[in-house]
Amino acid sequence: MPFNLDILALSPPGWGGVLLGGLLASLELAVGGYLLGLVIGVGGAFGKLYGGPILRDLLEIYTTLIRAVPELVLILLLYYAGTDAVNQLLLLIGLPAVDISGLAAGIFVIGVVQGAYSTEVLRGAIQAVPPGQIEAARAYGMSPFLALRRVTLPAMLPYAIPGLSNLWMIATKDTALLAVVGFSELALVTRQAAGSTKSYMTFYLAAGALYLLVTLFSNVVISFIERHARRGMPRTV
Amino acid sequence: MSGFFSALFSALDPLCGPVGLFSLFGSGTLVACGEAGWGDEIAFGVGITISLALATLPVGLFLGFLIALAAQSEEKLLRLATGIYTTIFRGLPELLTLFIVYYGLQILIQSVLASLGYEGRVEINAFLAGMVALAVVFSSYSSEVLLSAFRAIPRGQYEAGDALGLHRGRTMRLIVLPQLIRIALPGLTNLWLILLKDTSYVSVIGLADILRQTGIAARVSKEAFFFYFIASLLYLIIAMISSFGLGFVERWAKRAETAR
Repeated sequence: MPFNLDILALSPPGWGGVLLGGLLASLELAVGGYLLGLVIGVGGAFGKLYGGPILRDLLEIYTTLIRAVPELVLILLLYYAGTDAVNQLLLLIGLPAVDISGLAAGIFVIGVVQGAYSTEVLRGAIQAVPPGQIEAARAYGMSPFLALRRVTLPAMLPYAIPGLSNLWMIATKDTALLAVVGFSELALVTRQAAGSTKSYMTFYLAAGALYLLVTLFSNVVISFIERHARRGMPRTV
Repeated sequence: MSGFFSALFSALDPLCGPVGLFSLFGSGTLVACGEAGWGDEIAFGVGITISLALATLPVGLFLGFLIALAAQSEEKLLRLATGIYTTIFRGLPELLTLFIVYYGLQILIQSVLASLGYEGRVEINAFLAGMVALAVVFSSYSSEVLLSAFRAIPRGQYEAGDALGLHRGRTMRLIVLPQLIRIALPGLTNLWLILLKDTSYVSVIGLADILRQTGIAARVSKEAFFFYFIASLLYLIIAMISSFGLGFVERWAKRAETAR
């Protein structure tokens, strides 16, 4: 079966522009969700390590639940039930219901899922920092926040980067799941394009190539970041 | 005989049997069994999810083992091919892999049959497509786990096998594999839990798994939160049971290690 590449052209008879638009939406989702996940992860990791018993138990429940339930179920649950809950809450305090944009809801969903995983990654990385370094920061009279910014975060980064780069790959792939709730990212527009032109293989392979390009490009960037984060570390053989 | 077994299974059905969760606590609610509620449909979905995961596991493990072997072979082309394979299938979203297998396999078989002179429509079983896609993804991840486990086994172990006059197959079976299982088990346990969750993607191509059944129930009854919550609970229970069972397997694999 010959592949007709004209349907991948950028201008409207072809679907290339639509696919690139979908890729852009996917990347927006992935970046937003990943950053939100990192913020949750840093907070969660510190809460798990230094928080009180109740906070620790709550965070344990959060990470266990999120990591044991399929992302697809979580996305359906958070996307539909989450937007519903926000509107119920707004109604309760007497505000009119708002129409939550798909992008915001999607970023929220991916961020919550990523947060659980990055909590665990960052917790392991913080524990790998020799406690003497953190004690030294405290001995210098740094406030906890300053010690976090100057000592703990930079020192744990080399240990966290392999896990965090895995999470970035997972975030880019998880964006495809939002196709199921009708957010028009790469997987959904591919499906639409494939459905309306009936050339399924061409479009799925094209989308696969785009996802693969994102992965390969991220690998290059991550190796730069890793080299930068490891600049003070002794070279491992 | 088969009648006896099916009777036994229906008696021991943990969801809709005589002592099932849904029959005990669900009667009169939305998850009642039978015509009144969605209990038996969801129980059927649980069966599909578990059997899909169990059917995928051996195929994916076997493929992953072969790929791990190929990745450390002397042949340069073989190593390159495994590198490309694992990069592609770890880089593609699982959902897209599933679509490619589901639609692509259909088109491939159809065009092969057309060239043989058969012009009918071929419909691929969603279960089979899901199994192939999940096995491919599972094999690319498990090959990495197995490869690092292979690297953790000292060369001396192979040399000891040679010195005892065992041929290569027996060295693999008697010396390398038992250690390989022990080293790779934590990674493979992780992958099993991931596989269990990945089965939820097959609901998108119409296979009646847990998520599909609860999704239909949610749409019909307009109780989205309740049914998706039930689905999360079911996945959680399956994951807890299997991590409990895997604890036993791990203890069995470590039986020869010194106690610490």
